[in-house]
Formats: sequence, structure tokens, C-alpha cells
Amino acid sequence: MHYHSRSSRRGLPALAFALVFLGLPLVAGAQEAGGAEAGPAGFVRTELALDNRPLSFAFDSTLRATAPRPLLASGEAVSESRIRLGELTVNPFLNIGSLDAAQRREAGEPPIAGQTTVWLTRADGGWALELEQAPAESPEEGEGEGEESRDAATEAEEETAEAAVDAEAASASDEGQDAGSADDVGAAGSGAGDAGAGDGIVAHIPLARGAAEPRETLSAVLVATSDDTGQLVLRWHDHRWTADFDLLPLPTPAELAAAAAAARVAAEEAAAEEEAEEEDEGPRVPTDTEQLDFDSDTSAVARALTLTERNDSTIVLPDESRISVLVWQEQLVDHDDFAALAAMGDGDVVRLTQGAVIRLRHEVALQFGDTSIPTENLAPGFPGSYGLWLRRVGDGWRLVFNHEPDSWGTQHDPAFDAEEIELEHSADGLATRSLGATLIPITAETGRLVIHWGAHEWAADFTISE
Amino acid sequence: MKLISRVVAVAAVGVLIGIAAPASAGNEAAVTYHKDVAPIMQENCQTCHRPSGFNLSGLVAPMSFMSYAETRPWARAIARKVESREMPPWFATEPKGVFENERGLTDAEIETILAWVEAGAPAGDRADAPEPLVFAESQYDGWSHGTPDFVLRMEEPFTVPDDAYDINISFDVRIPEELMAEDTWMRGWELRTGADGSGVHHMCAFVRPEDGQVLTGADKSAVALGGLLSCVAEGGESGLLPDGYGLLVQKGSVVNFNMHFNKEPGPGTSFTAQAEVGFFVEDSPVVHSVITDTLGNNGFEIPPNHPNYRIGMARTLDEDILVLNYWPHAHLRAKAARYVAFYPDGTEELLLDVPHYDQSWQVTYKYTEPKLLPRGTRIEAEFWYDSTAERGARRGFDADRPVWFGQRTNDEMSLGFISYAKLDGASTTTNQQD
Repeated sequence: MHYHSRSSRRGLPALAFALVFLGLPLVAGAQEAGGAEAGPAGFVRTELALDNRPLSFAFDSTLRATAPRPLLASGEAVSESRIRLGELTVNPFLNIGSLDAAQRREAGEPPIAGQTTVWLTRADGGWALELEQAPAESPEEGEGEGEESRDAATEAEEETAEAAVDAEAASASDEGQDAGSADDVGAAGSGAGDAGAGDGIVAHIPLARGAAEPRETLSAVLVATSDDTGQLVLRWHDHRWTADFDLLPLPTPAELAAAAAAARVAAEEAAAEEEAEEEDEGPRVPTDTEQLDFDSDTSAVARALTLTERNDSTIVLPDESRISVLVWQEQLVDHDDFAALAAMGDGDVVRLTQGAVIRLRHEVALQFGDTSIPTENLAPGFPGSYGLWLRRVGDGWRLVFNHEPDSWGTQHDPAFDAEEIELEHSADGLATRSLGATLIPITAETGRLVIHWGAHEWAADFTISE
Repeated sequence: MKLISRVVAVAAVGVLIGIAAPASAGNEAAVTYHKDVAPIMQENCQTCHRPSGFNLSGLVAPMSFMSYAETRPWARAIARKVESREMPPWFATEPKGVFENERGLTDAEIETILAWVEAGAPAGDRADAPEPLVFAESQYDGWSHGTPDFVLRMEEPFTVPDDAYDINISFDVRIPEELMAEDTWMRGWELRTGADGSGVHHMCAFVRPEDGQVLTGADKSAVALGGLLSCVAEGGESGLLPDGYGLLVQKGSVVNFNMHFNKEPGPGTSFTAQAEVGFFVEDSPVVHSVITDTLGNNGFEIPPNHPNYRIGMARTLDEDILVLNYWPHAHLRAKAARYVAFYPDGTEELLLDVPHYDQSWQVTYKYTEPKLLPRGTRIEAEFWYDSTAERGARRGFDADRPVWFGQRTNDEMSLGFISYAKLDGASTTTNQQD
């Protein structure tokens, strides 16, 4: 029984309870990959957290396709050229391309986690991404200088990347679909004009390509395709690349218990040794104590707890402002709530008996068409926080922004409705998808909100009005 | 089984108010303490207002009302509290008459107390006084429900140091074979913090089988720690399960003592706690296996300075259950709580309405008769929070910043506890007879 299997969902509040109420150490992915660092200036970040297994891709939204970019052009593919797109922060549960967390786990190898540099490459086999990770610093190199060192490294990488782009040879066919393989890592990673590249390559990710409307600047989004799978979608020039990924299950309760017990035993042994050495050194405080002050910042714990209940899609703007949409996990298409969509009457809102209302949280004001969705709707200085309700109106759909973002999905109170907007609707999506929502960054000033459930997709474009 | 069912407590508020008029015998028609007031105090107050008892090491009732001498100095304060119905403490306005631990005075009882105070709080004739109550713990080493069949205790006291503000800590203790040699049905348990000072926010006890797998019949046990036995917190009471209800504890199980301490740091505030759980073995056949579970919506974010923020949660039952009790648990900002049942036939019923929630009184609302909720019923719970500066000044939280789910008293919670038994799982079983 995996923690996130449907049959165990009733244990979810209990696990959350255990995590915080009982001061248990957090072991889920939020600690591993949740602390994505801000990318360099101009980077926009797309974040996705599925069942507390967060991923983050910060991409360079200033990269322009009109600059000399032979790599992007049609024609013959030439290996040994690449463009640095941004930074992907991976969690230890991620399987993507040659990054195989399951295999590493089976082999007893430590998982790959943390920030990686993402390169777009094009080799004989087709398009691919390469993930490069700087080798871990030795302890004596580290403290206090890490940020500076990283910044310097980033600048060097940027210069190298530009050089690599300038040196790109002409291009080739862009018909490649699912081409490339892990075997290409060495060749692609040792590209010309990029001395030393390949040393830290940790994954090679073949990309599937499709044609797309031309787009001058790069955009990217992490999209959930199920509770455990997703897709990285990149748009640039006339390309639309995708890479599928999946996430290993979180530890089971039994594994959590075993880990907690092992940690406890180790702590007790360490404490016993310490006690033996230093008798009567004051009160004994076991190491699993969580001692907090009145002002201790518990936001990270709260964030991790939130992600045990809700999936999160977020856009982080270059100034670090966040726009997030959070959806209660595992609202499946075989549930009565989904079936009820077909029988909704005019004016009805979609009811969710199994989860809280979808929550929109945004630190910048948003504009959906003519409708402004301001921040500070609940308190001065507080981000915008709204419950999002889907309403059936005639043959169409509307989205209601409500001032109660933490009500349950059956507790819509029209007295707290703030605004309503028209939604685009289609019913040709992936039929099996649980209820979810994605915020798609288009530019640093525009985006698209997509709510999906089964084959239904409801969408609306927005601009950032601050 | 149930020794005392009605409880009254008077909180330490205001200043001690002396009684202006001396007690006098008066005429026979006058209301006196011994004749008229003492029976009310015995029935409604003394369970908490005594030197020890259902009071979590003294956290509940700060003064004793066991005698006229102890009661008289507080007479005017008592009159105010009972007239406003702040005391006895009971926060559920609905439903009435279904909870076995429901507290409250009748109009006549309130009139009696007011008349007594108005008359100068006379003692009256001692010969009119009822026999003093004899509480179980005075006979059973402080245990409220008789002597437990066995007691499991933390291996050593834990010291909460002077500089601590908030500590949340868990201790595992295995039930040794000499205490419990076989899988055993329990009819109840009583938690004691063993603290020698104030500053216990709560104590919870969980039990999990030796192999770490789920406790029989308890979905909740999908947690690493095991199935929740119960929690005690400020204002809480312990209790035994109704006849026919039990919890199976497997041989060699581990009990997790979860202790949450919260106090103002400072010199001289240090204290120790060595918690214990007294187990009461069920001698009679058990028909229903009890589960304690929660409804939750814990990823909330309460904005600063919001007067009325709602957090909702729900569960749709996939089988018939018999509900034993509810425990709405939240912290300083919580101002109201409610449980509602939405039945499969489209009707709804208010299960519990607490319009004036007070974190200082962690009341468990226990049905006199277990409540049947059929399969398909959706139980919804809601909490409302006031995070304004006005409340923050009174309750001691920072109103200028948002708050999330967290363990500290100045964090928040929204836990709709519910204890129940599955009706379909009913089968008669007994402990092995020697």
C-alpha cells in the first residue's frame, strides 16, 4: 500500500497530523526539492508539486528566437551544439529520460536531487535536453562562499552558453520524435565550443517535437498528466517539445515508521554515548524534539504539509512574485463528483465532496480580460487568495472567484463571491486525469490558467497587471 | 463505570471578591450553602474544583470548592459566571440532551445561587449538608476511573527547561509482556501528564503493533505512529468506552507518548513530566471496535487581521458507523466550530454547534447513546477564526502575520476529531479467560 494510493487517502489527515502535530521529521520531497533557488535575472519559473514531490524549472524568458540560432532552424541536425535554457530542480523521485530514480534506488545509489542546468541539444538522433549538475562542494570549500561561487559559475556558464550558441553549426531535420537515447549523453555533452561540458551531465532527456505557432521567446511549463506523471512542455520558435516524466511513490507509512524508528534508535544511541561522556549536563532533550520559539518561521513545514494534501502549479516571476493554484489531490474521474458534471443545471457550481475548493493565491494583481483580480482581497498586505468555483451557465462555463479559499468543495457561499469570468471549454483532453490545474507562463507578463478534469479542460488567459 | 457525569468549573478570573455580609444562620426559609448550594456544587462544580481530579495536573480549575470556607470567597464571581452561563463550561448550543457530559445549570439552580449570594452567602446549618462526595482518585491513587489494570509510563521524566517556549516531543514505550502477555481488548484508558508544573498544552497517546503495521480496524493507523488512543488538553476529560465497545491492543505494541509543552520562557519555569497511560482491560464481550480519526483540511493559510475566516473539511462515509464522540480541536484564533451530517436521502442534521469556541476548553462531546450515521453520509466540519489584533491582544498571538497549521499554540489547527465504530465490523469477542 503506497501512501498515495487511493485506498490510503483516509490516512492523509492522519499523516499530516503526524508530520506537524507530532513533530515528526518531514521526509517527503518538499525538503528535497522544494527550495528551488531563484534563477538569474529574467528567469521565470514553473513549479509543479504532485503529492509533495515538487519540481521546478526556471527558464530564461529573455532568450529570443530571432537572435542567430541555427540550432532552432530547420535543416540538418548537427551534434555538439547546445543552448542553455535554464535550471531544473529535481526531486529524488523523478524518472525522466536517462534520469531513473527507480533504477538508482534498486542499485542502492543515492538519488539525484537539487538544481541542474538545462541545455537544449540537437544531435543526429533529434532534440534532447541535458541536465548538468555541478559536483558537490567539499565541506571545507563551502560555507559562506557558496552563493558567490554559484553566481560566478552561473555567469561563466552564461558566457559559455553564448559562445556555444554563436558557434552553432547549421542545423538539420526537425522531424525527430522520441529520438536520442541515454547513449548519446557523451557525444552531446562534449559539444564543441563548450570546454568541459559533459563532466557533470546527469541526465539526457530525449524530446518529442511537434510544430507550433511561432513564438519569439522561450516558455516552459510542467504539466500533470496524472497523479504520478507529467510532462515538461517547451515552446520556442516554431517548436513544441515535450518530455514525459513520472514520479516514484513516496515512502509508505511502514517505511516512514521504519525510518522514524531507525532515526530514533540512532538518536538514542548517540544521546547515550553523549550522556556517558558528559554526565549531569542539564536536561535531557531527545533529538527528535522540535523546539520552537514564538517567532520561529514554520512556513516551510506548513508548505510541506500543504503539499501532502494539494497539488500545486506555480509561476514564479523574475521578481520572485508567485502565482499559484492548489488543487486537492486524487479527485478521480470514477467518482460521483465527476459524474455529476454531466447533470449540472444552469447556474450550478461544481461540487467537490472529496476535497477543498481550488485555491488561487497570487502576489501580483491579475487581469482576466476586463476583470481585475486584485491582491489584498482578504487583508491589507496579504496576497490575493480566492476559492475558484466552476459554474455552468447555459452551454458554457464560468469561473467564480470567491473570498473563502479554504472552504470545502461543497461549501460554496455566494455571499463571498467576488468576480466571475468566461472560460474556454473543451472536452478532448486526457480522459483519465484527476482534477487538476496548471498555470502556464507564456511571457513574464502573461499566462494561462487551465483547469482540467477527465477530458474537460477549462481555460482563461490572464495578464499581470502590476 | 461513569462516576461523575456533570462537571462545573470556574475559571480564575478577576480579583478575589470578599463577601461583605457575614454568614448568618438567618431564618429557615433563607437560602444557605449547606442546604441549597452545596448539592449544586457537588453535582456540577466539584468534579473539577478540587485539589485534583479531572484537571490535567491542575490546569482546569484553579481553585477548590469542596467546602464552604473554600467557596465563600468566590461567591460573587460564581454568581456572575453562572448567571452569564459561562459556568459550568459548555460550548455547544446544539444539540441538547444527547451528550452524556453536557454541563449546565437549570434556571432554578441559577436562581438558588443568585439568591444565596444576594443574602450574603450564608453557611446555614451544617446538619443540612449532603454527605461529602468521594471521588474515585482518592481511592485509586489519583486515577479517575478506578485502578487501571496496568500502567505504562515514560521511562524517565522529561525536563522542560527554563528557556523553552514550545516543545513537541514523542516518546515510544513498548508494552512489556509482564504487563500484557496477549492481545487484549481495552474498555478505556486514562492519560496523565505527570507534570510537576503548568505548561502542558496537550498529551496524546498512540498505540501501534510491534511490527509497525496498522492497528486492527483503525484506518488512522496508516500513520507511522499508530492508532490514536486519545489526547488530553486543557479543559479535557478522560472517559471509558460504552459497554460493548473496545479497542484491541496487540501484544508487544508500542505506545507513543506525544507531549506538547508551551509556556513563557524564564527563570524558574522549568518543570518535569513523566507521562503515563492507565489501561482498563475489558472483562465483558466486545461487539464494536473503536477508531479515532480526524477530518482535516490542514493546508490552510489564515490571513492576518481577518475577523471571520472559514476552514471547511468533510468525509463521506463508505460504511455505517456508530459515532461515540466529537472533539473539535483548534487554537487561539478559533471562535466557532460545527459538524453537520448530510444524509444520502438529501436531509441534513446539525451534529454539533459550538458558536463560541474557546481553546482553553478542549471539550470532547460524548454521546450518551452512540449515533448511527449510515453509509453515504457526508460529515462536514467547519471552523471559523478571528485573527484580528483585538483577539490577538486578548489571546496572545501576532495578528499581523498569516498563520498555518502548526504545533505551537500560536499556530493554528483545524482538526475535527471523531471516534466511532464500524457497524459492519461488529462481532462479539472477548479477552482470553485465564
